[in-house]
Amino acid sequence: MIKLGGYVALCLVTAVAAGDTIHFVGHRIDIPMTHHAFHLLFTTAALVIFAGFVMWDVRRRGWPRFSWRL
Amino acid sequence: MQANASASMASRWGIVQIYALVFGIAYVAVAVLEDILGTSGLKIGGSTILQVTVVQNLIHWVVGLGVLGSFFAGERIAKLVARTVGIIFVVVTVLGFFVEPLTGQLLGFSGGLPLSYNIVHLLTAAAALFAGFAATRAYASR
Repeated sequence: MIKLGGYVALCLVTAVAAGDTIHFVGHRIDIPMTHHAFHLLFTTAALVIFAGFVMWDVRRRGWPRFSWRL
Repeated sequence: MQANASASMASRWGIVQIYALVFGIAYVAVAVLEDILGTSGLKIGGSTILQVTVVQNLIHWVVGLGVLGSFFAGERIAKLVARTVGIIFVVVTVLGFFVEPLTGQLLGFSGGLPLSYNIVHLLTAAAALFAGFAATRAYASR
C-alpha cells in the first residue's frame, strides 16, 4: 500500500510539474494560459487515459454489465 | 517488463478504481496548481490569465481527495464515490446549461458559467457514472 501510495504521489507531482511547466512555457512564449485551459487540459487528459483503459479492458474482458449493487 | 507490471496492476483493479486513480490525480493536480499559481493573481498584458475562485478551489480539493482516497479504500467505496460525484456533476451540468448566470455565481464567477466548464462537467459526469455502475464482479461469470 505504501509503495502504491508512492506511485500515486509521484504521478500527482508529475502532473503538477507538467502543468507548471506548461504554464511557464506559455508565459515565456506569450501564449495566455487561462484558468479555463487548465481545466480542459487536465480533464481531457484524464478522460483520454480513462477511455484508453476502458477500451483495453473491453477488448480483454468484453463489455461490462451495469448493476445497482455495490 | 515495465509494461507487463502495469498491465498486471491494471487488471487487478476494476474500471472504477482506474477512474478514481486517474480523475483523483487530475482534480488534486488542478487544485494544487490553482493554489501555486493563483495566489499571486497572475496577469499578462493587463489580462488575467488565472482566475481562481475560493469556491472552485475548495470543490477541486474535496472532489480530488474524495475520489483519490476512494481508490485506496476499495472497490465498493470507489463505486459509491463515483456515483455520488456523477450525480452531483449531472446536476451541475443541467444547472450550467439552463440556469447559466446562477451557476456561474454559485461557483464564484462574476458572470455566467463558461461553456467549456459545462462540457467538462458533462464528460466528467459520464465517466463517473460509467465507472460507478460498471459491475466488475460480472466478469467472474464469463
